[in-house]
Amino acid sequence: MSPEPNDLSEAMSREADAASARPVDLEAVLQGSRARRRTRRRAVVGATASIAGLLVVGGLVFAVGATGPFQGASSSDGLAAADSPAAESESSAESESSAGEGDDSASAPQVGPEFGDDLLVAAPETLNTCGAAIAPASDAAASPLAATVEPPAASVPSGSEATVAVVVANAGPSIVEGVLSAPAITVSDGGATVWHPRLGSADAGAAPIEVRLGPGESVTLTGAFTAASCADGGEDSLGTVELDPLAPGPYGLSAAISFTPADGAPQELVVSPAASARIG
Amino acid sequence: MARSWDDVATQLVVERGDALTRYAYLLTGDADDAADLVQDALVRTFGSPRFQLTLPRAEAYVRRAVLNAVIDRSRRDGTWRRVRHLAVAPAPVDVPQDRSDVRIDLMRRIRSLAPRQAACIVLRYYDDLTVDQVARTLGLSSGAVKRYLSDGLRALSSSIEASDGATVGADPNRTEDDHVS
Repeated sequence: MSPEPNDLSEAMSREADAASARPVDLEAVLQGSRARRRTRRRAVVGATASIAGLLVVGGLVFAVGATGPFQGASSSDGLAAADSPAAESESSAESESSAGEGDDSASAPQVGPEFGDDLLVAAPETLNTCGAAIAPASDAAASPLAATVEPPAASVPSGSEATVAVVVANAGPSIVEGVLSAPAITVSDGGATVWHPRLGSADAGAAPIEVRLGPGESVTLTGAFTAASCADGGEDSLGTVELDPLAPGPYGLSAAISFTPADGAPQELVVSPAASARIG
Repeated sequence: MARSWDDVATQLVVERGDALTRYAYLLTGDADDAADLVQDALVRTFGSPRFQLTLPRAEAYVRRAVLNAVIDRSRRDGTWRRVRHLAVAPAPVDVPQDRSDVRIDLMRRIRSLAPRQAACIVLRYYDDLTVDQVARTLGLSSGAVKRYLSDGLRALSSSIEASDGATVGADPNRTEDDHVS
């Protein structure tokens, strides 16, 4: 005999009424979440500073390697100098200096009335969640960057992995300079997310892309997706179980890319509108 | 203009804090545990970067975080539950004597369901949400919610019938893995 909905409702209402639940401590929630946000911000800024430091060190190493051959027969001295402990200590001193600068900026106070702006510091992969409505496209008035997805011309087989081109264009009147992440592609059905990348998987192995886009200029990136559904299993199913292949039909493909402006302005997410693609 | 997270958190706690605590209590059966779970879930929700955090989205995040914590706990307890029958003889289930006992018995059975089934039943029959609203709240598809509700009600029914027949046929200690895997 299946319990009646009324019985269930009454049982739960009485149970909840009978409990003397402790009220939520609002102050503890606010303090705890502020501390967590600060920690995460420091991690984001620290990681960005580390990447910048690596780029600088990489550039120096590349420059040293490139200038070596021009030193002709005596280049071995140059190479020996570059390989010497002294050179290493210079490089490491430089990288430590970069990291130190990063740490300084990272530990700068992050609290204040404007702290709510860090709403936009989100990993592109976690923008959409399985089963939930996809995020709307970026507001053209809020950012000069606009993203569009160019869906595959051919139908993508159900259950397979595929790539898609994502064009990020500067629709504003001035030059835009900064670093773009790899695009996180979301597959949607009727406006609801049916697949999105796991956190950290969208840009796995991909270096951030430095861009300097004049008005009207664009850059084309490549994003990957799987024609499978996480809608039934929810977020827990991503990466833990084999997902069901999507049923054949038209689906939406949208992209989210984080953009870190070179001028130190807050990071932002560039979200494309969903483009129709055929699966199956 | 985006509202400050603190504003959204404050409004959520003031307007929906009690409802969230009741939801957690119905899933856990312990008032202190429920309060701790909601507190943690709120900190997790407002301590992580989220895009366009509105009040309804924040509430859905908190409910999902509470459910995930219950699922984690259920998984931790799962190992013992899977081997317990090897060490302990099953105890007979007492037949409830009055309506109060019936209610307590029903709640015990609801809490012994897989967490997602229990959460769907709480949101559907206590919070009176539609299937689509439950799906949005828990980040599931409507089809999945219907399946969890159907499986949950069937499990409750089996459990009640088993105890009515003075047998212990139903397994009151299913974990999330029982139907996820």
